[in-house]
Amino acid sequence: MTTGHLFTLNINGETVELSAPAGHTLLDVLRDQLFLTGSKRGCNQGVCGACTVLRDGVPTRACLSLAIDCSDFAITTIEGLAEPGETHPVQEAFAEVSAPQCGFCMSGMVLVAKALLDTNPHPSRDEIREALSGNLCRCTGYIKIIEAIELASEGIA
Amino acid sequence: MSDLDDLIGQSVPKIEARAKLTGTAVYTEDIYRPRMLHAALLGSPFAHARIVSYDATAALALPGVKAVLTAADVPAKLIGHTIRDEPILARDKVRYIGEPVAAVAAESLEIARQAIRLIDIEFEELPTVFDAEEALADGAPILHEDLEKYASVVESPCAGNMVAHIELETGNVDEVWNDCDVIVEGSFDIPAIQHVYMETCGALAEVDGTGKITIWSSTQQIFGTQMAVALALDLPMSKVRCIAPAVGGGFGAKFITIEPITAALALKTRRPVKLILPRDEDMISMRSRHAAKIRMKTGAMADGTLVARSTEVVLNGGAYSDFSPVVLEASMLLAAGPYRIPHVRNVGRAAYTNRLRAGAMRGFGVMQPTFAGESQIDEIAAQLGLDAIELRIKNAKQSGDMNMGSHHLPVCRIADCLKEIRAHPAFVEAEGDAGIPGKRRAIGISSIVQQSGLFSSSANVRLAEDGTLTVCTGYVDIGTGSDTALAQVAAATLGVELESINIVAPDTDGAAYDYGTSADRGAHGVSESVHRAALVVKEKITGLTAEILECSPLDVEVRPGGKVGLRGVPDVELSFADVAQRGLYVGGGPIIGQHAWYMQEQTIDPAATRALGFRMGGGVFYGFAATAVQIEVDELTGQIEVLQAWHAADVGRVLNPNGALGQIYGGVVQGISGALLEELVWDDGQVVNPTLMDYKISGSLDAPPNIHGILLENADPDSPWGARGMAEPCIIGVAPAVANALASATGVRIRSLPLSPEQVLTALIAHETE
Repeated sequence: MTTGHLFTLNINGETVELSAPAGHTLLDVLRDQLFLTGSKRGCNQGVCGACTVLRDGVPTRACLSLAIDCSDFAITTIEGLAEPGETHPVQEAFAEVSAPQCGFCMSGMVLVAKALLDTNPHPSRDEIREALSGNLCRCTGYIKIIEAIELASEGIA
Repeated sequence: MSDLDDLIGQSVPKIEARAKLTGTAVYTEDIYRPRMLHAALLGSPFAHARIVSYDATAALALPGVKAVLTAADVPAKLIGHTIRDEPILARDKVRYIGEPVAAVAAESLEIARQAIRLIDIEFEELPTVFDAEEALADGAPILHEDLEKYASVVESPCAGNMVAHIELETGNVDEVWNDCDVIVEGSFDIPAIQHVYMETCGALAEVDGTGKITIWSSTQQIFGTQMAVALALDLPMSKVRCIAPAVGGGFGAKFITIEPITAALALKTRRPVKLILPRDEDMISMRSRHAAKIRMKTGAMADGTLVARSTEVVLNGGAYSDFSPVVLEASMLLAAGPYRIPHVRNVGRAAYTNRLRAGAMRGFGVMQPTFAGESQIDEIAAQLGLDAIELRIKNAKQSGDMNMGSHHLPVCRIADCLKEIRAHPAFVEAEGDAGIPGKRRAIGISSIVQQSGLFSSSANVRLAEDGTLTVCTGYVDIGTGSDTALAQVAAATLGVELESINIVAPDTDGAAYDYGTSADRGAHGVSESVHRAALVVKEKITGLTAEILECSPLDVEVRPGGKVGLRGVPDVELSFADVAQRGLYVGGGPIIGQHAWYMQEQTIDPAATRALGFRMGGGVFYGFAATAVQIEVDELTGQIEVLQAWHAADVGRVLNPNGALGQIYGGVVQGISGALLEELVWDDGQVVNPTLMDYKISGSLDAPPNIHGILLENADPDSPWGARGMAEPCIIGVAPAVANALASATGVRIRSLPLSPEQVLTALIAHETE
């Protein structure tokens, strides 16, 4: 095995001690070491957004982030958006309108939606389209995802 | 549930939605097994070459490498959906760049990929051919010298590089051109595009102590995969088990991918092996949609009555046959569109070339001729000074009409689809909007016909001890919402809550049987099986209840909420659980219902249509739809933006409106993406844009913010729910609608795709200087 570097990551509120080669991305570590497989590998070059996680609340490509560079941030993956077995209101809204089709892009979409609504609780349709523009979906035509975010927005006081 | 039908037509949330939204749905790559190895493939660097020798010594010597496989290490078997022409690893020669030649399994992915680079293969280059028409010409380099010896299920005459040759003719096309007042003629060019499912192809294979292989893979068909793996590795199917976990999209491409190679590595190493294709390898080595060259001629009378159409289609099938013969059949059967045209001749050929194999894709062979045909309908309307929608309605087929070969069309509401769009408030508002100089706006329209239904499906429904139900088919929900729709059908048939239905994940060890997720089979064919199997369960529940109550089965009524009782006596009531337990532990046996059927194909009536090389007869059911788009063309850049779209679908009866609309939105945007952005670009045999960076698909800003989905319900008499397939027609008509809108906005008619800014601007400049 390749020589590992020791480092810690703050993932979903927990501090985890890890050993990984310097070249391993956050996505490699999340998936292959921590088995947090909700972050998907769609292109591995930062185009599709399926690997999106929140880094201090900001949507970030896990496939383009070196794991050892992420020690100073609070990382939220899709698994950490709500308690296990529970769902976040954004996830509820996505489910309500049947936004997921194949579902592969959904982790990224939900996290981008969450980050958008945190900073802009009542976005316009164009602001939502803009926010989603870094995340590809091949099934939905984006319409139901936009509707879901509008629905989630309605629930915010 | 007070009414058994209450669940049908309801937008119940998808049953797997929360799993997909919390990151807990398990896709193939998310599965990890103890002692699992990782695999990588070596793709051919040449488009056509003889394999002279292999040397894997260095790769095998690398610490951590557990196996290196080439064709020399696997049985000399060929697989293929129509013609068995494809080895799982290139044998004797390679036929396209990226074709898998060798595979490695190692302790880590890094080691596997390092080992790939150490495999030394000596090739002797052969002459190449990339263009389909050149491949069909005399003297072209031959890809498959043994073509005539291959096992084949197609009747189409194959020779040289011809994979399929099909002709269909109704009427006497050659004799009526002189009668026409207007004739339009043109050549159309449709490029190869890729499916771009978000999850790349992947598989995990594991061999147990008895020698049985279990394969989890991203697939649209578990039984076809089981058969292909067994055939390729010379094993009985009883030693192969295929499971589909969650699947990240397919769109027609995921019919046997890299499962046989993965299984071979697991057999060799006797350890679990996972092979997940990186995006670039997936794009160069899996499948594309067929590139097509189409010559079409359509004639009409001055009043707009269509008289004749002649279509010649040449499909570029790539290096292996895959579904090419069947895709060509679909092109041939539907090239005349949903119109009453008395004289029609369709001639099609599909060719082997040294490119990526072309396979099934949403719109299956119909998208290509529809681009040509719907463009020509608008050209005729323009020449005759008629309204393009009126012209379509005037010639539209009606319920009770026939398609070519006397295929029966019990329900056909194409005219209603067009009228619904025309009456839509947003359409009325957009109609008068010509934009401003420099930013021209216009609407374009198209009509669509597509077939659905294919081969066999079946279902097992079992009543559990607590009164819940297990529904097992083998149909794979690749994101279409079929699991939810089938649960709705089962629940509605038995009058129970949706939560009482357990849809079993597809697994060849337990599933009933299903051909696979294709041809819009789910809404009609598989739901039919689930409904019929559930009716058997209902009958058995009734029979056993009659025994318990010591009454006639005729006096037993099934009540909503999983209850049975004596008709007219509300107090006498049992639960499904009571009945199930009675059957299991007292007498009567388990309550299980089964249904299995073959979706009857329609055959060509030789008295109506002369046919050559046509075997399949086509699918069972015809689906109709119309698409419209409003576009804005930037005359300075040539960029087209789709501002909004309409799609009216003759769906029969909607099982789940949100699910149906999701299919329409996704199909229309995939169509827009194909119309404006997508093309696999080759430099001879090399795909030069095999990444999502260089092969752009529609993002949220490319997709219109409003798509108006219109669902026309009118029960199909052949279906219990009246449901028909609707997920393919929505992609088919988008490109011609955009091209028609462009012609309306600017006067420029473009007959090749994609309608990229470069192509549009060049045409606008040429038009200006005319």
